[in-house]
Amino acid sequence: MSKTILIVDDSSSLRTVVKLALTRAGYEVLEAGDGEEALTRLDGRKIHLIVSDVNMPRMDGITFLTKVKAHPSYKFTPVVMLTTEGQDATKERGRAAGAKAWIVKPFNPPVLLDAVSKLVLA
Amino acid sequence: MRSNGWSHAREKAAWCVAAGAWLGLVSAWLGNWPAALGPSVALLGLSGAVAAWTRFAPGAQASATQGDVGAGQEAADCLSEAAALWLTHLHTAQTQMREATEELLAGFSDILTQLDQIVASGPQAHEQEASRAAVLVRCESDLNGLMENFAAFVQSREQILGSVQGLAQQSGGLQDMVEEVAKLARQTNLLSINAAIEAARAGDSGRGFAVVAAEVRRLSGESGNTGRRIGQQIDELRTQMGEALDCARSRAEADGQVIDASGATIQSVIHDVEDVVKQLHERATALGAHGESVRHQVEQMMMSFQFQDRVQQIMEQVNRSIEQAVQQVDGALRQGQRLDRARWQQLLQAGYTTEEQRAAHGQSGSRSTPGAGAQAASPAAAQQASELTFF
Repeated sequence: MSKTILIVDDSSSLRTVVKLALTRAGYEVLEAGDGEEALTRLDGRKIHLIVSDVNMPRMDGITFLTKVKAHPSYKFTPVVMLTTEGQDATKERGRAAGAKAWIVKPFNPPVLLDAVSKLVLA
Repeated sequence: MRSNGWSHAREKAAWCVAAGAWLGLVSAWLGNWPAALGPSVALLGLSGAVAAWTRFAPGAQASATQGDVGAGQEAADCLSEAAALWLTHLHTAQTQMREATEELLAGFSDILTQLDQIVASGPQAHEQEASRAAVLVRCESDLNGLMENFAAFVQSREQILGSVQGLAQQSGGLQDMVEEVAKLARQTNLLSINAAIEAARAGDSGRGFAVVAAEVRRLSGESGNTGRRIGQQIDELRTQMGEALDCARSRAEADGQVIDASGATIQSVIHDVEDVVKQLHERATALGAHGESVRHQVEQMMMSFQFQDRVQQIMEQVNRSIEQAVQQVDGALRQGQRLDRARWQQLLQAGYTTEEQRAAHGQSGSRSTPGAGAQAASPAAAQQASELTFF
């Protein structure tokens, strides 16, 4: 059975290209436009990994990440931040909040798939 | 405005005090009043400083005239109007870019789906190819079997031909026998003639013998006739057998040529079909490879649409920056105040999310040529693109 990955990004075009890369690698993909919408996807279904942007309306990626790590069912779900932010201070915020990896946009599909394959839950 | 009036009064008072102090100083010098000299000088310096500060201090200079304030208000109004228009244009551009990008991505996704079907059909085409090749082999085998049957048929006809030839040869032997029978008949006839002669010589005692001799003569005559008829029958049989043999030979020769030609045609057809199948296979392979290449190119092109995300973030930050900048400039113009440079720089940098923006800000801050910031931004962003960090 395919593994499920949740993509969280306010850019629909970005979600489309990430979904393209992941589905071609055999993953099933769920989408959300920001942190608030993504929390509604955490409804008990099995999610093997989350890919999240940082700068989003309503709820940014760091806040969403914090809530995921506090969720009883998803606190062990690995989260990869996919963002235009590349500064060390911002990365440190992500690491402190519980992110497992940080990828700076624009991304190359092999780089994303490398991170996903190494972190996705078994 | 009260603050401007207060500044004017202060400045005038300071000059009045300075004038008074100057008169006091002259009087002291003329009246030789050294005791009045010190306070006069101090008063003169103090009033001059106040007057100068009132005239030249920041804010005080900008609010020097009510005319300047009126111009500032008008500039603020124009700036607000322009900012509203700029923000509207930016929003229009953002919306159009987002919608066009989504439409293009949807189109490319459809193309990718079709390419997936084409490329996936490649292995199926190979399986069908193998099946067609097996069919070809089977057809070739069947046709070769047919040719063998034809060859066997020709061979059996040749065997029949051989048998007929044997019969013809044997009929020659029969003809010899017929000639011997005729010879015997002639000899028997001569014998009967001699017997009749001897019977006549014998007179009456030879009558019985003459009858026998006559009967023998009659029998030899009949056997001779029968022999001649058999000979004629044999001749006719030999003639017909000869004709049949000739016909069979010519038919066999013609059939052999037809079979040879058919065999050559069959081989040529099989060869041509094999060539066509081979070409179809090669074209299917090339088509599959081309489809794979096009699919890869389309995937790369779709990845390039990530630009829309970056542009969207930059334009949203510009929107917010324009709103805040207009608010600050508007307030400064209406109040006749200078802008706080440090606070202004913070405003410009607020909300940066990309390295291009930070690099451009750094280059623009050095007041280099326009666009230099954008030129410096690209390498900075390219260096960080797709950078992966594991925690």
